[in-house]
Amino acid sequence: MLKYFFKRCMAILPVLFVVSVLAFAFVHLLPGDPARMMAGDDADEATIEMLRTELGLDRPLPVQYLTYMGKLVRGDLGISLRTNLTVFDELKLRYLPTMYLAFAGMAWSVVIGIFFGAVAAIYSGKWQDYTAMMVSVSGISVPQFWLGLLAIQLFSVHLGWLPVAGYTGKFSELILPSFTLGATVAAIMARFTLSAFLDVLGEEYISTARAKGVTETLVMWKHAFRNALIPVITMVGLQFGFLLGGSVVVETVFAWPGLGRYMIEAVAVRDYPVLQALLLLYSFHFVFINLVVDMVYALINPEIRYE
Amino acid sequence: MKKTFFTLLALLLLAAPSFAETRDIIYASESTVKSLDPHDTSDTYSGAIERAICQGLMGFDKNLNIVPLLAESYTFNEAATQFTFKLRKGIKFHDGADFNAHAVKVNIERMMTGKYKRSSLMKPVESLMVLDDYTVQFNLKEPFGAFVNAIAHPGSLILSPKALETYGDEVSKHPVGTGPFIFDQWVSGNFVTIKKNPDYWRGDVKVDTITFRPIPESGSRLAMLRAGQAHYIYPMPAELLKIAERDANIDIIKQPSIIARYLIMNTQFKPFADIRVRQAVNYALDKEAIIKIAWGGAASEADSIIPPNLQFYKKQAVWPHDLEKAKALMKEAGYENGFEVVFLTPNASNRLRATEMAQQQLKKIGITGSLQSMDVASFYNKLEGYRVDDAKPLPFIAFGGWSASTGDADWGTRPLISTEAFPPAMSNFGFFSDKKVDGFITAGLASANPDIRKKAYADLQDYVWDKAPWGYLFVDTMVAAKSKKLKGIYPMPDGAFSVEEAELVD
Repeated sequence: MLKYFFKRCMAILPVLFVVSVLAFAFVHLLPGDPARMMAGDDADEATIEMLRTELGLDRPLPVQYLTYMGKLVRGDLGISLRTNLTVFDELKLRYLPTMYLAFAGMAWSVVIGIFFGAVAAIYSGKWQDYTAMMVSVSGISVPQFWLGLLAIQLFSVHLGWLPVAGYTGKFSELILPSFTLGATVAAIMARFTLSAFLDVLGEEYISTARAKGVTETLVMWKHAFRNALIPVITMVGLQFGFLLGGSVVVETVFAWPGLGRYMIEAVAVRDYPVLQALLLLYSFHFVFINLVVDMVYALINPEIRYE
Repeated sequence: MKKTFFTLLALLLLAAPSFAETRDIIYASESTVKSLDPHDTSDTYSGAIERAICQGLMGFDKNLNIVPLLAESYTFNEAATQFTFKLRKGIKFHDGADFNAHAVKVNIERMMTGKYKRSSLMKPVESLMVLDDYTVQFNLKEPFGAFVNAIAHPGSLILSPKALETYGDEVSKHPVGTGPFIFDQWVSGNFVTIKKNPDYWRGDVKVDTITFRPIPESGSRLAMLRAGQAHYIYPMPAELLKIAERDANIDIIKQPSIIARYLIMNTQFKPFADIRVRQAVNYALDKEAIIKIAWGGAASEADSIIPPNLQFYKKQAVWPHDLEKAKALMKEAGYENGFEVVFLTPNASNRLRATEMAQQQLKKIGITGSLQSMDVASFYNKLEGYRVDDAKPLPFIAFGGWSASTGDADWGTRPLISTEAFPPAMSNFGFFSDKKVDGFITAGLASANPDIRKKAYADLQDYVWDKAPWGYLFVDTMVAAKSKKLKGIYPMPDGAFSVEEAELVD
């Protein structure tokens, strides 16, 4: 088992290497000159040229690549072209807010999703089922930015309960953005819970339980619900990566100082070091989550091994 | 499940913050702060925050007129090569350092190293001499009549010499100046807070703190203002104006800007080398419609090559929308059947819409072609890629915009229509070249005497207006919105703002 884990971890390294090469190539192939963007619209050529030299953008691409890799190996992500702060510090400032948002979003989606999924399954074919599924289909179809603005309109402007946007460390600031982020995933979770539930309800042990005269409530909660949760929990892991990446829209609507918004700002001004670092970080997240999921599988069922 | 619901509800209620009235102002803006080092700042927003903390020898008033600030007065020689400033006495920086000629010298010499984004402001300077503790003299390499504007520019703010020594270039995170507000905290990408300077030399500051927060989504920005969680928002989104106007607690502020919008045509090549074609373009444009539909009404038609708020502006007659004249001119120039161009535009929705409208309007006189929209970085990359000696690029019409940050006619014309400004040097992307125009521009810089300069730029504007180097469009109106409780804060024509007199009233 340990050998498998070790092998699995080592397999990440070549992936990350390829990603770093791609990140560099991709970012430098974007049209647009970062020196120009930094210097501003009304700058003259001398200023732009000065910046280009200072940033090392005047050197040949292979040289820039080697410099970048050399620093990367030493854990140096470079300096943000836009703010002159180190990329590492900038990421540090934004990493936690994004994580909070993703975890809180996950919490919403688990609570709401499982609730609606279970209701739909238990009252299969009745009005509760249709209502629950209608809500969850809406959850998938409604664009996040619209849902976010609606929530702001209701809870902040009309009721005055919650802050509109921004994050300065208060719990209240987390509620609306995380709900908006979690809504889409909640819908997916609801549908997934429903099908897992229905699968379990078709199993023989459920019929056996019923035949033995176990009350319907007990059948549902003790026998069906628990077993239906196992595939749902796997789904949670997979959706987490989606939440981390999907926060771009939510972070913009709610002015959340996280990685998603940072990415957008960095693209707009061609902040090369930041873009490279973010691409690496996002790739790392996905690789890492997959690794964890694989390991959990291997732990649950040692017969499952991806060689 | 019931229990979960009530727990959540309880949490919601508990978390509801109270928004008690304090003397703390929240300013919600579209932009994020990029630096707080004035010498190394190129964006208006960061520059405006720096202006609340630091001051220059000269500054701008509401209408972008130049007024003395840390300097009491200045004199200059006839050749516009020597400028002497008398400094104000008894002013201290926030860290206790004295403001004097030494402080000015340290700052200007820092800019003169050429290492910073605003170093170009001090490019004309040959040397800076300290005549006494409160007098400094700038000696220029050649006549530069607009030098006082460079001194008043937010890039020329004076930082505490002590802070420069302590922090070096890290001063961008610890700006120390002489202004009404003291820098408090900057969390990159999140907020900047400044607090009242109790010993401000110009008198009492009426608010305790101002927090600048970036709120990129315009709907959220307005929601913050309506919910009382922000006191001032900029820009106020034009498409939401009606909602804001219905709110009794909100004031809308409109202010003409110095941002000019125009269509760039590559004038060196057929068919735009022909002045009649360029004039036809100007007759064919229905600017009123573009302003109304693409710009939410927040602009006024261009009536000179530079906007009214720039120094030495002279009003001209607006080009009328006259399709018959446009068609006649096209025929005269031999393009009765029209020709094809490429329309280039940044993909910001208002710019795209404006270009699409221009495209439709020009179609009526036979100027047709496809439209390429791209993000701002790619757009400038494309325009800068063209060179005047390139064989014959496809004729293009590009949606251009310019804000002359020094507030002076020189910076509104020289970088855009002088021969020396062909890319890559500056931003004459249409390669417009005219000896007389170059002559007027040189004359405008040859003296620091306002009367002489005024004459030169008046001649320039009269002359170039009919030459139609651009398809003239309009000058942006800046729209901000604020809580009725907030007084004394106003937007400046250059897109910045002044908070020195800010005050919260009940």
